[in-house]
Amino acid sequence: MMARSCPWRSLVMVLVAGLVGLASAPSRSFAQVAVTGRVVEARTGAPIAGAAVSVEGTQITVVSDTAGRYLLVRVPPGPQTLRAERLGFAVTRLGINVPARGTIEQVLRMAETPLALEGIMVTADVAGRARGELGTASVVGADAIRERTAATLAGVLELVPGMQLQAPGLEAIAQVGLRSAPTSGTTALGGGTTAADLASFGTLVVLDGIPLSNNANLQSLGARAELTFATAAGGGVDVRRIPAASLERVEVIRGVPSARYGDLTQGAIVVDTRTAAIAPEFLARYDPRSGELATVGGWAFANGGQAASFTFDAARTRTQPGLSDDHARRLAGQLAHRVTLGVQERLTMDTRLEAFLLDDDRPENSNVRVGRASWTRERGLRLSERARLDLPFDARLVLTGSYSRVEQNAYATSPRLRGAEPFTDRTTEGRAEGRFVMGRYDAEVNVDGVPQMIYSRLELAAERGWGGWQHELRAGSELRREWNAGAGYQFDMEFPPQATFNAVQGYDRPRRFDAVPPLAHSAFYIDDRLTRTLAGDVVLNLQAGLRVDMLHEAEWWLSGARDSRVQPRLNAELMPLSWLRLRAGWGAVAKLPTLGQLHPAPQYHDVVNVNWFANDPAERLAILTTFIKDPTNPQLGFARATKAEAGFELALPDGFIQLVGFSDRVSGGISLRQDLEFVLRDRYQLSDSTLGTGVPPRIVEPATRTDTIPVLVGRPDNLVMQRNRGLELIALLPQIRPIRTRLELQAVWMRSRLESDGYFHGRADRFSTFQLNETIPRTPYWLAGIEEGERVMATYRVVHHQPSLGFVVTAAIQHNIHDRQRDRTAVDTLAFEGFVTRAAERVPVPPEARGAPEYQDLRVPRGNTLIEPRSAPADWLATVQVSKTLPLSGRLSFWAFNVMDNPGEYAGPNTQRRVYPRMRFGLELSASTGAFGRLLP
Amino acid sequence: MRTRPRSADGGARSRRRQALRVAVLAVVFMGVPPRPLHAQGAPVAPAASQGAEWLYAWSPLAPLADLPRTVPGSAMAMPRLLTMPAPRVGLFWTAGNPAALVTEQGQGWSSLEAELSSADGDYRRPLDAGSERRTRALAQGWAAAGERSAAAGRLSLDQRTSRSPVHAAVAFPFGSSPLVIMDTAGSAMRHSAARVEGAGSVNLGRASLGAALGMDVQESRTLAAPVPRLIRVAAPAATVGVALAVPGTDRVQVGAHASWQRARQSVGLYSIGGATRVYQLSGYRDAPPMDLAGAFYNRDIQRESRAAGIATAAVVGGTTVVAFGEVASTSESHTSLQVLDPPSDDWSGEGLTYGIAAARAFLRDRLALHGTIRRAALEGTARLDESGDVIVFAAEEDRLEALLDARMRLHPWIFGFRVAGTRDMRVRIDSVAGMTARIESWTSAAAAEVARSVGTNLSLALGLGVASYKPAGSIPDPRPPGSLFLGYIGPELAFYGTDATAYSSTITAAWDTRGSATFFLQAEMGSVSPAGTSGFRLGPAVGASRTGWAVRAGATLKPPG
Repeated sequence: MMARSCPWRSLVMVLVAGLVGLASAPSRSFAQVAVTGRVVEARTGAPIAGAAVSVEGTQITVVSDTAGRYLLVRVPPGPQTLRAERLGFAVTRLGINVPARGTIEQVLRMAETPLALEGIMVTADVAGRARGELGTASVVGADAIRERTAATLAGVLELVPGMQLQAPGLEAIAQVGLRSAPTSGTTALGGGTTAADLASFGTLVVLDGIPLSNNANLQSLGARAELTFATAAGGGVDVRRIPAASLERVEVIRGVPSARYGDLTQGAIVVDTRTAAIAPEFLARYDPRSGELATVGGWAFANGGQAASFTFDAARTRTQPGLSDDHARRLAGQLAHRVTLGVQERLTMDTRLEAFLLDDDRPENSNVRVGRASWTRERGLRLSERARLDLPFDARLVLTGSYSRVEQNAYATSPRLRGAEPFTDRTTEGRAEGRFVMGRYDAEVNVDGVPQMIYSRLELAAERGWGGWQHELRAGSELRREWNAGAGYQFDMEFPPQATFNAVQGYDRPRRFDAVPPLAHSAFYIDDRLTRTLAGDVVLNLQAGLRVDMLHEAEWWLSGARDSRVQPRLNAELMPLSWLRLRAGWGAVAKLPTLGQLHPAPQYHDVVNVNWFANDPAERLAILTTFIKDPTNPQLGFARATKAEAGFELALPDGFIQLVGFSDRVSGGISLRQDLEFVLRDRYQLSDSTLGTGVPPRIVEPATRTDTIPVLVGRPDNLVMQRNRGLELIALLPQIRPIRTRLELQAVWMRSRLESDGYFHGRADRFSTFQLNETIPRTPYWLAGIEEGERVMATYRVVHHQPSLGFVVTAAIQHNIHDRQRDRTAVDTLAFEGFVTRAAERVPVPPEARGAPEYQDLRVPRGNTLIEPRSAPADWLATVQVSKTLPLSGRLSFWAFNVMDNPGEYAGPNTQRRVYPRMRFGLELSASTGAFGRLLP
Repeated sequence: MRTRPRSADGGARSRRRQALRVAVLAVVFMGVPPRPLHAQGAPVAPAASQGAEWLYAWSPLAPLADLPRTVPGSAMAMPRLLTMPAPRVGLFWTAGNPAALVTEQGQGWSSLEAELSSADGDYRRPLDAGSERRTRALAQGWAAAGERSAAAGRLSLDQRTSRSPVHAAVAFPFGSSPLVIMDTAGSAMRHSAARVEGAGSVNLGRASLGAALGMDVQESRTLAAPVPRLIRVAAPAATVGVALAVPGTDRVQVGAHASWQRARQSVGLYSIGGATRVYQLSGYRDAPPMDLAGAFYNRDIQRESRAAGIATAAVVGGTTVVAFGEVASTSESHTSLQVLDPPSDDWSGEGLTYGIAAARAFLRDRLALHGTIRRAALEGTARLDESGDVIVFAAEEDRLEALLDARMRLHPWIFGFRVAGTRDMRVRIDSVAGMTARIESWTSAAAAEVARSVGTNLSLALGLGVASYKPAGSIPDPRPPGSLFLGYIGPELAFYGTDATAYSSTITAAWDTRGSATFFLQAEMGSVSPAGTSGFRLGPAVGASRTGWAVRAGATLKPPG
């Protein structure tokens, strides 16, 4: 597992050699396909000059002339998406099927609002490609984003296969996991890790070219906490911070990503926000629970050499109106500046400053939650710079750097009621006199962290024809350092907020986060996308790459590698016919551990030696011995995965069908391994224990006897395996012209299997009884279980579009056909694997011997597992949205989520209830000032 | 049984007055089409649909086999000379057949409107809110969508806040169905409702096909209450129709349409901070109470309605005449238990609506007349879960409505005049309690509005309206009355058994940009109060009244070109 050498050295040599070779090789003509035509105003047919026309996913861009004419050359064969942009007009996107040779003509029509355009795409574009990617992807363009009434990025991702429909709002933490089905979460994999956590943790979110990270988020109270607050720690990034109103484009790479992307196991979501010259736009959304105001705008100046833009969004959602005052709110904004410098404008500098505030407040409700309240607050700031230098020979060098900082504050309070329990606040090992905690008190806890990250990427990209292939080559390196600071996990030691603050299960002392060492990570990659036209106009696309990720031993990148992963990746696409694409991909990926996993909090075990509780406080005596267990695992490394997929795509005359099968295997996913250790408990005799003396008794040294208490130390380890398999079908059917209606079908079958090579020690109460009662010689243990989840769902989207009226109706029906969860664990009383002794040793018992009379005490039910498979009845959920243009480029949208107010199916004899969020509805109004600009003389 | 007191020779005189009213109604007046579901509160100022009933005739969400009980004597709506087009007549505009939109749409029109209104007072039904404030946004219009197709649409968002306690725990407590839920811990509430509906039709030569789809969604919730209440309604609806031009003439069209509606309402009461007593009303007897303390109460109400109608339109001597008829049925079930196949309380109704409408322009279109007569009859029965097939409540209801709208242009003046009358007959029988309510009411109303151009762009309008409500009949008077009857059932019956008078006035300013839009601002005031003493011991107090105001601002938009 450990790789102490630096394999990137050889990779760098290969990279350099490749680039030198490419740069020196003669360029050869390739794929002389040209696309030409005119850009015109949709209603009048007047030519539009100065429109930027491009082929999405490529660098091919031209500007239309005064007659609206454009010419795009060297357009890659196959389904492509033309894009036309001009200030004051909606972005026009048009899908075309490019043959292997020749020239095709295409008129691009533009209008003030996309609703007035034929062929508006309000669903994800399956024919479009993520830029520079050959793996399966869903591209959600600006039109589809504008047409979504979504509050966050999560709402936009509903357009991706396998995602659940949801109402716009900020109610719950939104973590996105690609290609995985939920499992039961019952079989005690340790540390509360679930399939959903692993999936969202392994899904990379890239915002404006820079990864968002949740690796340094330590806002967790741990397994021993009694109090709770909303936290995204341990899973993926909470995408509520990203307003949908600020988005320009979202690419969801579901398949094998190129070597450019690391720190993932599932897939990547690449998000571009709106920037550059945009006529100021305003958006207001309202529903009985939520409100949102957003604006975006940008101006070009200095003869177009510079542009500045801003986005601002304010949103608020009441999560349980009428029942409580719980609410979440968000303020988010971004300032961006772009300047083009140098001879022939070769250098482009993009500067962005992004800030957000995200609150989740659950105040006390005197009717329901007396004395209980919690809140979390995140205030984030990110400064990034991207410099792009265009080099000779169609090459470019891009340097990206960023610094991000998020202040995370969380608070929770709750009344606690305790019997008299001995207690110590000692923070070093050893014996000490303690106190007693008892009665009712208000426990409070604050967790204040400041996760920060510096990130840089240097990438060299070049496009060359070489050896009969057209190459798009990228090579680069990434450096990342993440750390946390702040007061950390703090509480009043007199009023502990933990479930069992003494003895057997360990106890978490207050801990400062700035004492946690940083995480240093570096990566190098090379990636080449090759295209070649074979005999018979058969087009072959390949994308091959190699990536090396390194987790460093110390705080900086010059230190040795604690772990490293070499990740080859390959995607292939064969286009035997212009309307058929056969595709397959395979690749290895890896995900960094979190700071909390690399540096877990020490676990304190306070063993009670003497517990003398007298009525008179002055006569009480508590003696405790503190042991500190370090759960750090020096062997902990990357979670590893392989991704594989195969499928085909059919381009219909006015539609598209895509079928993809995938198989993803995560090995070494991180969860807590319950290691057995023991602590010693000394027993003492007391002297002078007569009551009424006003003084406590004294212990008599030495100890009369000593026994052992086995304890479980939760140590993060790469012990979880997850396998996700499935099929994804997307069918965008041709529009039925007479009724101007189009149907899109997305159907997904997914099966996830989650297993661990750890152990399960039974219900907590049984194990703690064994720990404290020295007369119990042993207790059974089991192998950790296997969880399986299976999901079949289909989403039907019907889009009715009347361009002449600027009117679109989108109805989506999500049919949850099959949801089944199953635990593959032996549940009978012979299922135990062995027993744990008081010396903290595991003694296996062979299966054939488990029925013997001597093991009678071990034959107990396992618990914490599904005995029978659990399934939810099939049911469906419908949403509808109606949008209509208004004067001056305005738009009014009405939306209704769960429009039939379907609560879900009731449970049957062998099913669990399916619960749907109840109906929500609201309005969205948007307007652009671009129309005012056109009205001016 | 208690009969409304009459004067000594009241019998004969009353019969004469009644005969006269019938004659007048038959000649002149017209009925008001069903109002949108969420207009069933206790408004004083007329709802936005009033004064433009023809704009709502095509709504697939119009109640089927249901005659909601409105506030007696709601004042007559104004002609709305500056903010609405003149009334239209046709298969689409009168009978609600969406297929005819393409042939009757004429010049397109659309409007955006926002309204702020308020009403309060002690002249109200027990399940009404004492005071309400309402905010409403409305966008509607129609236009050609190509050479052979047309579309119409409407979107409204409505938010009402009732600061005074509301006891009704259902969204529509004043329909024909006697199955109503209420609780005693009345709380301030906020009601949010949205309605979106659209119609499209395509012409295929002599035939036209059309469909209308609509959706009504509502959410009502308490404001900081110890017993929170959550009510949600989701109601989709659809109408399909066909219209044919009679061969040999372009002046006669026949059409048929069918409608379907489904409404799902969920009611939740959560006694987490206090106690309440819930009643499931099913008639005039005291329903058994359900005491909630630290418990949840959930009730699911599902309603499904169907209708089929035919109509014909003809142009005879310059007059457009439309005759229409529609049969409808509805069934409603109330269930409480969250198990498979729960038992239910049921209401079913059968309705018949028919009528005639005519419109004609005179004096080179300077004078336009429009009249409608509509009759709606309904019979319904209720059965409870525990009663099996035994009918526990029956209703026979009959409403005859008539309206005449006249408007005349004498530049720079425009005059508008509307007269309307309604005869409403309701016989409602609680067969378990042996109590019958028989209330026949007459509402006559008139409104006049005058508008004048002031300069090139500005127009001003002033309107006044008056309405009179006179009931007759008998209401039950149980001895001894139960507390529920005394507090809720009896006062509502007495409310409908009491004379009332309503007044309203409007002032409107409109600014025509001479481009594509006319912006307007309108203020409206209204009041309604019982006329004289009630005569019933549970009737409204002497001097009771309800007043309200509304301010509307918006724009009407002309089609491009």
